[in-house]
Amino acid sequence: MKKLKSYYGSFGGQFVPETLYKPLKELERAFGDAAKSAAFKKDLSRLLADYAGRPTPLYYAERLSSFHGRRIYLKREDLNHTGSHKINNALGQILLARRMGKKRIIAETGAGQHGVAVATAAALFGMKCVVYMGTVDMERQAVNVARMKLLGTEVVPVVNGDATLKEAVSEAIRDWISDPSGTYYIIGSCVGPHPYPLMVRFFQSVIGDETKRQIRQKENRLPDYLVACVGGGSNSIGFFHPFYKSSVKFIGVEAGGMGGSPENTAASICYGSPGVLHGAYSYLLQSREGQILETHSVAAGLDYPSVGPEHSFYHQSGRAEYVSVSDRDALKAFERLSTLEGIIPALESSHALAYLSRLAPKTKKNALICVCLSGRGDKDMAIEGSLARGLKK
Amino acid sequence: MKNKKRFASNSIRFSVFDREKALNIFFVAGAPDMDTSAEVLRKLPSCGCDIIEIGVPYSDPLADGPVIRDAYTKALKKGVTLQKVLAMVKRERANVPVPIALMIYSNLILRRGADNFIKDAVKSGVNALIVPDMMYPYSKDFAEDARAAGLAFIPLAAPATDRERIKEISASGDGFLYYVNVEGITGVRDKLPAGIASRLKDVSSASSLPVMSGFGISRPEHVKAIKKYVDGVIVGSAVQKELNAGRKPWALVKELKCSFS
Repeated sequence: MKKLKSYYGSFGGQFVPETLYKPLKELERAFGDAAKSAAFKKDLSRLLADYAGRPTPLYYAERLSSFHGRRIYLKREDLNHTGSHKINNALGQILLARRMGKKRIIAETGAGQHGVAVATAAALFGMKCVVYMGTVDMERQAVNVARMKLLGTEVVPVVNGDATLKEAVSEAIRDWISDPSGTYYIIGSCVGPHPYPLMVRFFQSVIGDETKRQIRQKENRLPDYLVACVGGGSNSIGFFHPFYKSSVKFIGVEAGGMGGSPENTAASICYGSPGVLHGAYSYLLQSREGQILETHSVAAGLDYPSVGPEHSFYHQSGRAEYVSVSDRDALKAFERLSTLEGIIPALESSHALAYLSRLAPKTKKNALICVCLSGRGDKDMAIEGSLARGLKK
Repeated sequence: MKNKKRFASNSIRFSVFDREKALNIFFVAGAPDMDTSAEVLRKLPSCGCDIIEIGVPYSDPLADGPVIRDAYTKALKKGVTLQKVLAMVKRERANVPVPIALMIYSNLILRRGADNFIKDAVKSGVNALIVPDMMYPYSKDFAEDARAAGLAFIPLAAPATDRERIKEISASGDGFLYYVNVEGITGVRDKLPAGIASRLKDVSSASSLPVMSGFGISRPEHVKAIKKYVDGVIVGSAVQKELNAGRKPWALVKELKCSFS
């Protein structure tokens, strides 16, 4: 087929029921207009500055640097309002929803970070909000469930399948199919049918744009490496994309879980193969027959069997390298950053930090590495406690 | 009523539409088990079913409600695969005097490889494909390959699909246009949506293919309410609900067929 602009190389597209054809067309048009509108951009940058607290610092982590023997900077997305990069996209998309005259917002969430960000944005804009969340995730991220409820959002438990992020996305899409004209679906990662991957990248690119400016100020050059965790891949695509045309090396760190076989991980690129899930053609974890596998990761936000189509394209074209890190190594990195720097990282971001132990020895002595610290780890204290005990046995 | 549709010159036609209004019955392969599915496949035509649509179990059926989802989950737990479904069709083909369609999500096709899948389906005696998550124009190449092999690619239209797109979609497909009555997922509903009659009239006048109406049709009164405006109806969840409960759907199917006359 003639390549449509909804593709990244051979990845992406719109593999959805016909009912979503028109709403996706409308969304594509509205997003295209908004992205060009000075008023929209002004509203967004004011919200990002005064409400979310941007720009976030690019912090030189001196003790972590001396531990690894390389210069390491952390992009502090954990310091955003609501505690992660998810607010960048939630604010951007809710502005778009308001522009389109939508009254009802829905979202899915895994770790609860996207759910909280959307619930926050919905409260700020006085919009009705429903968040779908797997019951397994509701249990392991109970604090975030309480936050969403306090913010006035209805949290709908999803019991299908393994009751985690994949099922939450499916239920949100089914909700959208049932009310495509009144409801706006704020997807939380750079996954789903076109134009979602493009929109999420657009709203998350603020991470990479700021990093580029900040590292030039501090080091007078671009970094050698960007390292970020990849579940669906929204913090990493926003971090990487502004550097696309440079020679900066991109490393996406997937969740290796307990390792061994695909279903013990959530590492779609490292352990998967191309196929269709949630409307996009991308790498995914599937059986020989094409059934989507249940996944495992200690980090709920990475526990997803596919990845954004643009990452699949980066992988196939060799622009980025994708690696995986085990639950155990992520937990070690979680503790290390806490004790060395006084920063408690999210378990998701801890995967990116853990890879430094493997990356640093392979690099030149004067290598400059930026890591996206996509979120803070307060939400993970209960998991860390119980798992650390289990893993140390 | 004779079918007066103007088909695209090379599209695949089903002769049932030349004779009468068609009843298409959907069920999930392997739910509650493969033996029951084979029996249903053999027996549906004698109950008045004109086109049989077999759902291939899939882990993530985006367009389906709880009844069909549960059936898929159960079938997958029992180890039902695409290959087993095709083997059943092949075994029973000689005993089934009506067209057989597969309802299959796109990832199962892609995993097998589109070319191999088309070959397998033709060899087993499948006549048509309904792929709920492959819409036009993404379906274009696949639909052409399927048609070239003699498999009808059934296009779907939805409540918000405009006339221009219905023309385009129906011209790109074969067999019939599957009109999805409601914005939503599959499932039994009490009432058909308001304004359905005029909408179906409109869809029919724009489509170059016969129009079959599906989603939310479970009872004879639903069929009676819309039969004037369509070339046939599709019933799925209501039949699967019977099968999930361990009952046989013969009486329901007969009653649905009778409500056309």
